[in-house]
Amino acid sequence: MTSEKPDRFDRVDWSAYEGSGGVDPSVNTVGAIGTTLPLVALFVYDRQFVGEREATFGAVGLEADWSGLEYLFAFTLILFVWYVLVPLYQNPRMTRYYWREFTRNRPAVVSLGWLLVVFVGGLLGPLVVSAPEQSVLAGHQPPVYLSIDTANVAQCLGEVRGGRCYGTWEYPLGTTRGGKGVFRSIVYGMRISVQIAFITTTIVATIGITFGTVSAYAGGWVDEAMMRFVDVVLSFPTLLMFLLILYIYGAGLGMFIVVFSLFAWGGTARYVRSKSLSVSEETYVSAARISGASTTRIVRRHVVPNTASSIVTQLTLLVPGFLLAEAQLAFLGLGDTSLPSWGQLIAAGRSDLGFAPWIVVAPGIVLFLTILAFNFLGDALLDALDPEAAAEVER
Amino acid sequence: MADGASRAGAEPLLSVRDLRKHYPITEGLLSREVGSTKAVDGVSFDVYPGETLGLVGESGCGKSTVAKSIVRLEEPTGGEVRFNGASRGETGAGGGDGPHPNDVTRFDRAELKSFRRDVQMVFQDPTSSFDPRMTVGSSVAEMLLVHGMTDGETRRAIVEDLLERVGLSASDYDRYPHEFSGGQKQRIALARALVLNPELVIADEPVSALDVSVQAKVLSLIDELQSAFGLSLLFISHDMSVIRRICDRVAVMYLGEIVEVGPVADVFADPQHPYTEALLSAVPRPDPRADPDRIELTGTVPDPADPPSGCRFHTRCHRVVQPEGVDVEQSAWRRVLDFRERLRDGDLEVDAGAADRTAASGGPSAAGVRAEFDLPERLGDERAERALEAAIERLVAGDEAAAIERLSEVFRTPCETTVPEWTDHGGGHGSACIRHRSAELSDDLEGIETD
Amino acid sequence: MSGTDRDPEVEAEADLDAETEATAEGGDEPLLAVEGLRTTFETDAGTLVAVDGIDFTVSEGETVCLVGESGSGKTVATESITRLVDSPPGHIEGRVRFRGHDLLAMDAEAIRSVRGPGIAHVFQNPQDALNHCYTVGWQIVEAIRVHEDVSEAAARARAVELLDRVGIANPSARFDDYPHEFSGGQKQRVMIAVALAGDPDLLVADEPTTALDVTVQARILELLSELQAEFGMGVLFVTHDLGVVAEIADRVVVMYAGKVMERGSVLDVFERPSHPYTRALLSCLPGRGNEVTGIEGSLPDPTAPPEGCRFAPRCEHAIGACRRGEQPPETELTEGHGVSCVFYRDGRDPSVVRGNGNGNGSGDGSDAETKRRDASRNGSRSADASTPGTGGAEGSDGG
Repeated sequence: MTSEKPDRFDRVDWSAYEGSGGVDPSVNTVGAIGTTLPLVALFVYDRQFVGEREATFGAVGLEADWSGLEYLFAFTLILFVWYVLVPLYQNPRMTRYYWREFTRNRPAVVSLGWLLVVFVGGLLGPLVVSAPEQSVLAGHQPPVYLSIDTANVAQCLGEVRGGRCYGTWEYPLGTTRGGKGVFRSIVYGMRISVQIAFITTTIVATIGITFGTVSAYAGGWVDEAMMRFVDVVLSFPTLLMFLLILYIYGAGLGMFIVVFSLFAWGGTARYVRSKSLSVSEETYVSAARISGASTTRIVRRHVVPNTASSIVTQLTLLVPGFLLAEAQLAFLGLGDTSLPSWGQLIAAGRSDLGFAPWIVVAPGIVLFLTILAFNFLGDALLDALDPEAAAEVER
Repeated sequence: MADGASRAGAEPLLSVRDLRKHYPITEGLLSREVGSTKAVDGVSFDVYPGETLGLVGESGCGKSTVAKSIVRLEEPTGGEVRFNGASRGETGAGGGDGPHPNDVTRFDRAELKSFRRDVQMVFQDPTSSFDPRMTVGSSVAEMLLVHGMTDGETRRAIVEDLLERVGLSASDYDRYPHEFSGGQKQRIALARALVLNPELVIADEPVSALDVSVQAKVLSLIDELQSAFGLSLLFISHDMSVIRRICDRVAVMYLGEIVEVGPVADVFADPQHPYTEALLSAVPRPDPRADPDRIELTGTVPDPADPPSGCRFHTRCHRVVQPEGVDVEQSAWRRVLDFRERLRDGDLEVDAGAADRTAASGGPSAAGVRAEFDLPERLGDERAERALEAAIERLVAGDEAAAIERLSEVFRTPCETTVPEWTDHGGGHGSACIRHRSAELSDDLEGIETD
Repeated sequence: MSGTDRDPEVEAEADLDAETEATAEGGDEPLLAVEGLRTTFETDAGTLVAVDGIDFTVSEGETVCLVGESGSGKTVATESITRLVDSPPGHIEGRVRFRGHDLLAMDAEAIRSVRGPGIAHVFQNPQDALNHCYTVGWQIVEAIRVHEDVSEAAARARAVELLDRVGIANPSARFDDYPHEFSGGQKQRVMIAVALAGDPDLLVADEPTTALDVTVQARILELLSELQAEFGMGVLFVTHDLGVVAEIADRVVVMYAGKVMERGSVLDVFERPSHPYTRALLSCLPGRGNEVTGIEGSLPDPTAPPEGCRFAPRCEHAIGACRRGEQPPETELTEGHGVSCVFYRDGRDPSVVRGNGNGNGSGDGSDAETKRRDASRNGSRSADASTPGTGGAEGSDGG
């Protein structure tokens, strides 16, 4: 009898389970840790054994040299895979349901497609497309099928007809003053945008969710103090802070991301707190409590998942803000000019707007579409991720 | 403990003694406590192994708070909850009347965790009972995991078996709560409550959110499960017809107190407390030819922060006792007392309602007042009639204080001064109503007459 | 008389109406006559038929109850009457004649003038039906002034009077209170006051007591019948609880899956229940001296209703004829008592569904049990299909 597997609830011998804590690390956690370790090893190797100026992957013949930002980006990708993509795969029913709800919103599906292009372009583009190179002679080449007065180009790479220089397939979207291909620059800019999106989202979500749930569950003066701190964070003049840092230390993309995301989580924390409070009023939390589950477990298994899915929208809508901020700063000449971001590209083209508008227009359209896509996506996610609201509607 | 085990049949599984739950009312910047809402105020009852005890009362009477206090979802303010689960019989050191070896309110973390394996709850609202982002199977299985069952396959096997047992299918394990109807969710909630093989299940209005046809099915399921697994059940409801259907004994609660306890058959056949009578008469009778005459509960449930003195039910009671020497028709007596109560609270409106009805006279008249408060033209009792007439006269003259005084001289009831004691009607049937203590009553009345 | 093919019912109704003292202006025209009402919704899953061609009438001063389980289309039917159903996605067909005017043919302006002074609604959940930003008094005044050009002061006096009438103690003091300061039962009283503000001829009460305690429910029902007597309104009362029906109804219309299963006077339905569904509903009620059983299975998918009788998949008496064609036409048993069941047609024996005599109708044998289980397996996925507890006995032994 004792060796028999207890497959009936009233045959379980609970004394056998006495004392065990019920810790069951999920596949996701194991996976995330398992894939983070090599990354950490690579980071250590890069710092300890590879010279400052040598490429990280020089030993295997690749030229890529990873900065700290790249490691952070890789880490956020790992988290994304294990805590977003894998759970979607693990819960096919829910995924199908979300997808069905999501596809009701056609513009959002198109938006998702566009963002996938940007994501893949940013991730793999730099491996396929070579980096845009400076070449003064090839400056101001027009996109294919368009033309420019030969007076404006040092050398026309394409056909010249009737005093006008026509574009070539070598530079499908034309070139900048310095002769960098606009198309290649946009592809490289995708990587910057993807990095901004992923890293800021991860930082904001991590701090916001932690701060919000801790505040909600601690209660009392801890809650009060934490929320007043959020007020401080929210009223902090981030832009001035960034300019100050820029002025004193100079600032690259890493600094931009860190500064802006460190001051952007306030709203998320507040939202998570109020949502956690309302979730912890739900009966299922009571049910979990009288099952004997610890507070940590309830927060991890019930409160965080139920708040997280509702902040997805908020986070989605936060990303365009960062992309725009980066572009605006770049346009004002306050960014790192060596950065191949869309903002820098637009900034580079503003003086040539009169005769070579593509330098501004092409990345401008891409930026606009990306921001629009994020907004559509956020809207659709809001509807799709709330199964209860949807169930209400169906009733 | 030893002698308790020997007569295990008579030993209650759960004993609640003088349970209290007060919520502080705070005011101002410094959160100064200015009073407390006495949601549960000294409740005692027992649940015996294998029986179903019903706890019945209107919303706001504190019955849900009792449930939450027992399982310590709310920390009780006072009192004891003794739970004699078999697994913990010997943990309590010392003799039988030692310092509460099994008092749930004093359990530490570990004790509480194992207590929670023995007592589970089913909640009212099927919709919010389940995490919308977890499959119902994992919601149920979570209980097992929390208590240390790390083997996922075993968990699944147990839960699938249980789902079938409550009338669903094993494949429902992977479905999400929104895919189920209310009745189905309540079945899953039952599965979740059962999965740890508890001794006691507390069901807090488990069917009141359901259709009548679904109610019947869920109630039969509860019945079946109870007899199959020898569960004890504390069943909370506001509906007497549901109580009759499922309970062995019933405890009637009013404003934080229990006013009557007894076997269902006795209480339904011969309710001893007027409140029980009123609850019973409120149940719709599925017979169109039935006499619609029913006891009307006037007024609303009083504020539990400031419960009425004496018997808490006296402000709404249709059998409120008349002092010696007064003999007024009972319904008129009730209305006069309501009139007096309204006068005392200073919230009567002779100006609005009554003025309309006696528009000709231009101002409130005695007849207008009587009409407004539904008072009869004349009270049967001479002395009472004189007092009422005088009071109304003063009121019409605008002297409210004098009117109150005049009324208070005659229209008083021992119910508002005497806290009713528990009367045993035999066979485990008891109630707390002053009418059952005639001897003490007359003493009280003398006191009232002379003071 | 109107020239529709569903005339007998209307006619019977008119006769019945003429007998009672309250008669409409038209003489033989009931207050409200619904004919062939069909309400559909366009959803992703296809066309959802919520109400599928129902007829009923309400005369002045009469209480008609629409009874059925949740999801049987009762609420949609009442909301379709005054076109409260959003369209799109909703789509309403049929005829709804109120005092001789077809409400479904009216323009938006005209229908607004009917809502309130003509037909007023009381909804299920008093919590949601009142606006929490305004005092209850303001909301009643608003309801009065929408349809009547009266001064603020006069409207206020009227509102206080209404509050008093619906049994709110101290009306002029409570006038300026906000909804959250009222209990559930009081809120429902306020809702009734709001509904009465337009002095309606017909009050549509959609499960007004479902969210309330039994004690409060009893008093609200009492209030409604008092008000009905006083104002001479017709009342269309929607509920799933036959206990409530027994309390207040004059006539009953039993609905299932958008169709009318049975109709008749309250005595017909309670003492001579003829449709298996009505009998099943009655069997859910405690206190009728029978074993309380409930109904196996669940409502059919409204986007794909079954062929034949809608109730056939759950019916213990279902035969082949039940699963073919359309819902069987109504058979008039006695005047005003109609039933839509094949056993009352084509020379079949009605005693099959009626059981023996008019006692309790739960005459189930083992063959009925298996039939029922088969039926629910054919139908939509259902929790209530399998029989729990069969393994229960061995469970307690095995421990």
